[in-house]
Amino acid sequence: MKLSFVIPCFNEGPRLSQTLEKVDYFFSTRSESVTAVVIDDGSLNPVVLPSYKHIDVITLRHLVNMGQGAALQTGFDFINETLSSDITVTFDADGQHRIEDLDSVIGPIVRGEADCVFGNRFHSELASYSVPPFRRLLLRMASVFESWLTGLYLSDAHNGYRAFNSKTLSQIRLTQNRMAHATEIKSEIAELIQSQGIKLVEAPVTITYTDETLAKGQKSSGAFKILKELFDTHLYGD
Amino acid sequence: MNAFQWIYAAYVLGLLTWDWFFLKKNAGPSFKLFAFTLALAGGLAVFPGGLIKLSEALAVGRAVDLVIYFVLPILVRELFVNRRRLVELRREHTNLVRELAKQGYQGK
Repeated sequence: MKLSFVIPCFNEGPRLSQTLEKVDYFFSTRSESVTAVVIDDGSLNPVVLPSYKHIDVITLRHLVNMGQGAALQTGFDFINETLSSDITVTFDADGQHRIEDLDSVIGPIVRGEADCVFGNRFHSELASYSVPPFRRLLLRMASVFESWLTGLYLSDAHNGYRAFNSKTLSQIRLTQNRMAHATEIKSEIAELIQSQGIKLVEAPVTITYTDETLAKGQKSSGAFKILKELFDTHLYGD
Repeated sequence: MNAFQWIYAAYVLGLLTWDWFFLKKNAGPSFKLFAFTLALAGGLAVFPGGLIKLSEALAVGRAVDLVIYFVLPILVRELFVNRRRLVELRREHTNLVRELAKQGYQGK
Protein backbone atom coordinates (compact mmCIF):
# COMPACT_ATOMS: atom_id res chain seq x y z
CA MET A 1 0.00 0.00 0.00
CA LYS A 2 1.27 3.46 -0.91
CA LEU A 3 0.85 5.93 1.90
CA SER A 4 1.63 9.64 1.71
CA PHE A 5 1.84 12.31 4.33
CA VAL A 6 1.29 15.97 3.59
CA ILE A 7 3.16 18.03 6.17
CA PRO A 8 2.94 21.81 5.83
CA CYS A 9 5.53 23.70 7.81
CA PHE A 10 6.46 27.30 8.44
CA ASN A 11 9.52 28.17 10.56
CA GLU A 12 9.27 24.87 12.43
CA GLY A 13 13.01 24.52 12.96
CA PRO A 14 14.02 21.32 14.79
CA ARG A 15 10.39 20.30 15.52
CA LEU A 16 9.96 19.12 11.92
CA SER A 17 13.06 16.91 12.08
CA GLN A 18 11.89 15.42 15.38
CA THR A 19 8.46 14.71 13.88
CA LEU A 20 9.95 13.04 10.80
CA GLU A 21 12.33 10.98 12.93
CA LYS A 22 9.36 9.64 14.90
CA VAL A 23 7.49 8.85 11.67
CA ASP A 24 10.55 7.14 10.24
CA TYR A 25 11.01 5.05 13.39
CA PHE A 26 7.32 4.14 13.40
CA PHE A 27 7.60 2.65 9.92
CA SER A 28 10.74 0.66 10.70
CA THR A 29 8.56 -2.34 11.55
CA ARG A 30 5.91 -1.88 8.86
CA SER A 31 5.58 -2.74 5.21
CA GLU A 32 3.86 0.31 3.67
CA SER A 33 5.63 2.37 1.03
CA VAL A 34 5.66 5.79 2.67
CA THR A 35 6.37 9.23 1.23
CA ALA A 36 6.24 12.38 3.32
CA VAL A 37 5.63 15.50 1.24
CA VAL A 38 6.88 18.42 3.30
CA ILE A 39 5.68 21.81 2.10
CA ASP A 40 7.99 24.51 3.34
CA ASP A 41 5.60 27.44 3.30
CA GLY A 42 8.16 30.20 2.88
CA SER A 43 10.14 29.58 6.07
CA LEU A 44 12.80 32.17 6.82
CA ASN A 45 15.41 29.42 6.73
CA PRO A 46 14.57 26.98 3.93
CA VAL A 47 13.94 23.43 5.14
CA VAL A 48 16.83 21.08 4.51
CA LEU A 49 16.22 17.48 5.55
CA PRO A 50 18.43 14.42 5.67
CA SER A 51 17.38 11.18 4.05
CA TYR A 52 15.53 8.72 6.23
CA LYS A 53 15.79 4.95 6.39
CA HIS A 54 12.20 3.87 6.15
CA ILE A 55 10.37 6.76 4.48
CA ASP A 56 10.99 8.92 1.43
CA VAL A 57 10.83 12.64 2.11
CA ILE A 58 10.11 15.17 -0.62
CA THR A 59 10.35 18.88 0.13
CA LEU A 60 8.42 21.42 -1.91
CA ARG A 61 9.10 25.05 -1.16
CA HIS A 62 6.68 27.96 -1.40
CA LEU A 63 8.86 30.97 -2.12
CA VAL A 64 6.60 33.12 0.04
CA ASN A 65 4.34 32.26 2.94
CA MET A 66 0.89 31.44 1.57
CA GLY A 67 -0.83 29.80 4.51
CA GLN A 68 -1.62 26.28 5.62
CA GLY A 69 -4.54 25.81 3.23
CA ALA A 70 -2.41 26.71 0.23
CA ALA A 71 0.40 24.44 1.44
CA LEU A 72 -1.99 21.50 1.84
CA GLN A 73 -3.38 21.98 -1.66
CA THR A 74 0.15 22.09 -3.08
CA GLY A 75 0.80 18.76 -1.39
CA PHE A 76 -2.51 17.32 -2.67
CA ASP A 77 -1.73 18.46 -6.23
CA PHE A 78 1.72 16.93 -6.07
CA ILE A 79 0.42 13.61 -4.78
CA ASN A 80 -2.37 13.49 -7.38
CA GLU A 81 -0.02 14.33 -10.24
CA THR A 82 3.15 12.53 -9.22
CA LEU A 83 2.73 9.95 -6.48
CA SER A 84 -0.77 8.46 -6.88
CA SER A 85 -0.96 7.25 -3.29
CA ASP A 86 -3.65 4.93 -2.02
CA ILE A 87 -4.08 6.92 1.17
CA THR A 88 -2.97 10.46 1.99
CA VAL A 89 -2.69 11.69 5.55
CA THR A 90 -2.43 15.33 6.59
CA PHE A 91 -0.10 15.67 9.53
CA ASP A 92 1.23 18.57 11.61
CA ALA A 93 4.94 19.34 11.54
CA ASP A 94 5.10 20.56 15.13
CA GLY A 95 4.56 17.24 16.88
CA GLN A 96 0.94 17.85 17.94
CA HIS A 97 -0.17 14.73 16.08
CA ARG A 98 0.92 11.32 17.32
CA ILE A 99 2.09 8.88 14.68
CA GLU A 100 0.89 6.11 17.03
CA ASP A 101 -2.68 7.21 16.16
CA LEU A 102 -2.11 6.46 12.47
CA ASP A 103 -3.88 3.11 12.46
CA SER A 104 -6.90 4.71 14.06
CA VAL A 105 -6.95 7.32 11.26
CA ILE A 106 -6.24 5.16 8.21
CA GLY A 107 -7.88 1.99 9.52
CA PRO A 108 -11.42 2.76 8.28
CA ILE A 109 -10.08 3.45 4.76
CA VAL A 110 -7.91 0.31 4.74
CA ARG A 111 -10.91 -1.78 5.81
CA GLY A 112 -13.08 -0.12 3.14
CA GLU A 113 -15.40 1.41 5.72
CA ALA A 114 -14.68 5.02 4.75
CA ASP A 115 -13.31 7.24 1.99
CA CYS A 116 -12.07 9.89 4.34
CA VAL A 117 -11.37 10.09 8.05
CA PHE A 118 -11.19 13.13 10.29
CA GLY A 119 -9.40 12.95 13.62
CA ASN A 120 -11.43 13.62 16.74
CA ARG A 121 -9.71 14.78 19.91
CA PHE A 122 -13.01 14.77 21.83
CA HIS A 123 -13.58 11.03 21.56
CA SER A 124 -13.95 10.53 25.28
CA GLU A 125 -14.65 12.60 28.37
CA LEU A 126 -11.07 12.13 29.55
CA ALA A 127 -9.60 13.08 26.18
CA SER A 128 -11.74 16.22 26.07
CA TYR A 129 -10.21 17.44 29.31
CA SER A 130 -6.71 17.27 27.85
CA VAL A 131 -7.67 20.19 25.59
CA PRO A 132 -7.19 23.64 27.19
CA PRO A 133 -10.63 24.84 28.40
CA PHE A 134 -10.97 27.98 26.29
CA ARG A 135 -9.86 26.16 23.15
CA ARG A 136 -12.33 23.38 23.97
CA LEU A 137 -15.16 25.89 24.21
CA LEU A 138 -14.12 27.62 20.99
CA LEU A 139 -13.88 24.34 19.07
CA ARG A 140 -17.29 23.25 20.34
CA MET A 141 -18.79 26.54 19.17
CA ALA A 142 -17.00 26.20 15.83
CA SER A 143 -18.44 22.70 15.40
CA VAL A 144 -21.97 23.99 15.81
CA PHE A 145 -21.40 27.03 13.60
CA GLU A 146 -19.71 25.05 10.84
CA SER A 147 -22.34 22.33 10.88
CA TRP A 148 -24.88 25.08 10.21
CA LEU A 149 -22.64 26.47 7.45
CA THR A 150 -21.64 23.23 5.75
CA GLY A 151 -24.43 20.86 6.73
CA LEU A 152 -21.86 18.45 8.16
CA TYR A 153 -21.45 17.99 11.90
CA LEU A 154 -18.05 16.91 13.15
CA SER A 155 -17.22 16.60 16.83
CA ASP A 156 -13.83 18.23 16.28
CA ALA A 157 -14.07 21.29 14.07
CA HIS A 158 -10.42 21.94 13.33
CA ASN A 159 -8.47 18.74 13.63
CA GLY A 160 -5.69 18.62 11.06
CA TYR A 161 -5.15 14.86 11.37
CA ARG A 162 -7.10 13.57 8.38
CA ALA A 163 -6.86 10.76 5.84
CA PHE A 164 -8.27 10.50 2.33
CA ASN A 165 -8.33 7.75 -0.24
CA SER A 166 -7.10 8.69 -3.72
CA LYS A 167 -10.60 9.16 -5.18
CA THR A 168 -11.58 11.65 -2.49
CA LEU A 169 -8.25 13.45 -2.53
CA SER A 170 -8.42 14.07 -6.26
CA GLN A 171 -11.68 15.95 -5.81
CA ILE A 172 -10.63 18.29 -3.05
CA ARG A 173 -9.81 21.79 -4.22
CA LEU A 174 -8.90 24.16 -1.42
CA THR A 175 -9.11 27.83 -2.31
CA GLN A 176 -8.87 29.15 1.25
CA ASN A 177 -5.18 29.77 1.70
CA ARG A 178 -5.22 30.27 5.43
CA MET A 179 -7.02 28.73 8.38
CA ALA A 180 -10.50 28.89 6.83
CA HIS A 181 -9.44 25.87 4.74
CA ALA A 182 -10.57 23.67 7.65
CA THR A 183 -14.14 24.86 7.14
CA GLU A 184 -13.80 24.67 3.37
CA ILE A 185 -12.55 21.09 3.43
CA LYS A 186 -15.62 20.10 5.44
CA SER A 187 -17.85 21.92 3.01
CA GLU A 188 -16.24 20.05 0.09
CA ILE A 189 -16.58 16.70 1.84
CA ALA A 190 -20.23 17.49 2.62
CA GLU A 191 -20.81 18.10 -1.10
CA LEU A 192 -19.05 14.85 -2.01
CA ILE A 193 -21.18 12.96 0.50
CA GLN A 194 -24.29 14.43 -1.14
CA SER A 195 -23.22 14.01 -4.76
CA GLN A 196 -21.16 10.81 -4.69
CA GLY A 197 -22.05 9.14 -1.45
CA ILE A 198 -18.52 9.08 -0.12
CA LYS A 199 -18.21 7.83 3.42
CA LEU A 200 -16.72 9.87 6.25
CA VAL A 201 -15.92 8.71 9.76
CA GLU A 202 -14.28 10.37 12.74
CA ALA A 203 -11.39 8.59 14.42
CA PRO A 204 -10.09 9.02 17.95
CA VAL A 205 -6.74 10.82 18.11
CA THR A 206 -4.77 12.56 20.82
CA ILE A 207 -3.40 16.03 20.32
CA THR A 208 -0.21 16.73 22.23
CA TYR A 209 -0.25 20.26 23.58
CA THR A 210 2.96 21.85 24.75
CA ASP A 211 3.64 25.47 25.68
CA GLU A 212 5.62 25.77 22.48
CA THR A 213 2.90 24.47 20.16
CA LEU A 214 0.22 26.45 21.95
CA ALA A 215 2.26 29.62 21.55
CA LYS A 216 2.97 28.98 17.90
CA GLY A 217 -0.30 27.36 16.90
CA GLN A 218 -3.63 28.83 15.97
CA LYS A 219 -4.65 31.64 18.32
CA SER A 220 -8.16 31.82 19.66
CA SER A 221 -8.51 35.20 17.95
CA GLY A 222 -7.96 33.27 14.71
CA ALA A 223 -11.66 32.38 14.87
CA PHE A 224 -12.49 35.95 13.85
CA LYS A 225 -9.98 35.84 11.00
CA ILE A 226 -11.56 32.63 9.77
CA LEU A 227 -14.99 34.25 9.82
CA LYS A 228 -13.65 37.20 7.85
CA GLU A 229 -11.99 34.93 5.28
CA LEU A 230 -15.22 32.98 4.81
CA PHE A 231 -17.22 36.20 4.56
CA ASP A 232 -14.78 37.62 1.99
CA THR A 233 -15.00 34.48 -0.13
CA HIS A 234 -18.77 34.55 0.07
CA LEU A 235 -18.82 38.18 -1.03
CA TYR A 236 -16.14 38.22 -3.68
CA GLY A 237 -15.93 34.60 -4.77
CA ASP A 238 -12.78 32.74 -5.59
CA MET B 1 -13.16 83.41 3.27
CA ASN B 2 -13.86 82.21 6.77
CA ALA B 3 -11.47 80.35 9.07
CA PHE B 4 -12.69 76.90 7.98
CA GLN B 5 -12.19 77.73 4.32
CA TRP B 6 -8.62 78.89 5.01
CA ILE B 7 -7.87 75.74 6.96
CA TYR B 8 -9.44 73.50 4.31
CA ALA B 9 -7.57 75.26 1.50
CA ALA B 10 -4.30 74.81 3.42
CA TYR B 11 -5.13 71.16 4.05
CA VAL B 12 -5.75 70.43 0.36
CA LEU B 13 -2.70 72.39 -0.68
CA GLY B 14 -0.62 70.47 1.87
CA LEU B 15 -1.87 67.16 0.52
CA LEU B 16 -1.13 68.21 -3.04
CA THR B 17 2.38 69.34 -2.15
CA TRP B 18 3.13 66.17 -0.23
CA ASP B 19 1.82 63.95 -3.01
CA TRP B 20 3.67 65.97 -5.65
CA PHE B 21 6.92 64.92 -4.05
CA PHE B 22 6.08 61.42 -2.86
CA LEU B 23 3.33 60.02 -5.13
CA LYS B 24 3.81 61.68 -8.50
CA LYS B 25 6.85 59.64 -9.49
CA ASN B 26 5.05 56.27 -9.54
CA ALA B 27 1.49 57.37 -10.23
CA GLY B 28 1.91 58.24 -13.91
CA PRO B 29 -0.77 60.29 -15.66
CA SER B 30 -3.33 59.29 -13.02
CA PHE B 31 -1.64 61.78 -10.71
CA LYS B 32 -2.97 64.62 -12.87
CA LEU B 33 -6.52 63.36 -12.39
CA PHE B 34 -5.92 62.98 -8.67
CA ALA B 35 -4.43 66.48 -8.41
CA PHE B 36 -7.33 67.93 -10.40
CA THR B 37 -9.87 66.25 -8.10
CA LEU B 38 -8.11 67.57 -5.00
CA ALA B 39 -7.90 71.07 -6.50
CA LEU B 40 -11.59 70.90 -7.42
CA ALA B 41 -12.50 69.84 -3.87
CA GLY B 42 -10.44 72.73 -2.49
CA GLY B 43 -11.98 75.15 -4.99
CA LEU B 44 -15.52 74.10 -4.14
CA ALA B 45 -14.88 74.49 -0.43
CA VAL B 46 -13.37 77.95 -0.84
CA PHE B 47 -15.89 79.17 -3.45
CA PRO B 48 -19.07 77.21 -2.71
CA GLY B 49 -21.44 79.67 -4.44
CA GLY B 50 -21.42 77.98 -7.85
CA LEU B 51 -22.09 74.53 -6.41
CA ILE B 52 -24.93 75.84 -4.23
CA LYS B 53 -26.56 77.42 -7.26
CA LEU B 54 -26.12 74.24 -9.29
CA SER B 55 -27.65 72.05 -6.56
CA GLU B 56 -30.59 74.44 -6.27
CA ALA B 57 -31.06 74.40 -10.04
CA LEU B 58 -31.07 70.59 -10.03
CA ALA B 59 -33.37 70.53 -6.98
CA VAL B 60 -30.96 68.21 -5.18
CA GLY B 61 -30.99 70.02 -1.87
CA ARG B 62 -27.72 71.02 -0.25
CA ALA B 63 -24.54 71.41 -2.27
CA VAL B 64 -22.92 68.68 -0.21
CA ASP B 65 -25.66 66.23 -1.26
CA LEU B 66 -24.78 66.86 -4.88
CA VAL B 67 -21.16 65.98 -4.15
CA ILE B 68 -22.15 62.87 -2.20
CA TYR B 69 -24.46 61.64 -4.97
CA PHE B 70 -21.56 61.68 -7.41
CA VAL B 71 -18.70 60.61 -5.20
CA LEU B 72 -20.25 57.83 -3.12
CA PRO B 73 -21.15 55.44 -5.99
CA ILE B 74 -17.68 55.92 -7.46
CA LEU B 75 -16.00 55.11 -4.13
CA VAL B 76 -18.17 52.04 -3.46
CA ARG B 77 -17.60 50.79 -6.99
CA GLU B 78 -13.84 51.32 -6.70
CA LEU B 79 -13.86 49.44 -3.41
CA PHE B 80 -15.72 46.49 -4.91
CA VAL B 81 -13.71 46.36 -8.15
CA ASN B 82 -10.39 46.60 -6.35
CA ARG B 83 -11.36 44.03 -3.75
CA ARG B 84 -12.48 41.65 -6.48
CA ARG B 85 -9.25 42.23 -8.36
CA LEU B 86 -7.28 41.60 -5.17
CA VAL B 87 -8.99 38.22 -4.77
CA GLU B 88 -8.14 37.33 -8.39
CA LEU B 89 -4.53 38.43 -7.96
CA ARG B 90 -4.27 36.41 -4.76
CA ARG B 91 -5.49 33.32 -6.58
CA GLU B 92 -3.05 33.86 -9.45
CA HIS B 93 -0.28 34.46 -6.93
CA THR B 94 -1.13 31.22 -5.12
CA ASN B 95 -1.11 29.25 -8.38
CA LEU B 96 2.22 30.77 -9.35
CA VAL B 97 3.85 29.95 -6.01
CA ARG B 98 2.39 26.43 -6.15
CA GLU B 99 3.65 25.77 -9.69
CA LEU B 100 7.11 27.10 -8.79
CA ALA B 101 7.19 24.75 -5.78
CA LYS B 102 6.34 21.76 -7.99
CA GLN B 103 8.73 22.83 -10.76
CA GLY B 104 11.44 23.33 -8.13
CA TYR B 105 11.12 19.67 -7.15
CA GLN B 106 11.07 18.42 -10.73
CA GLY B 107 14.17 20.51 -11.47
CA LYS B 108 16.14 18.61 -8.82
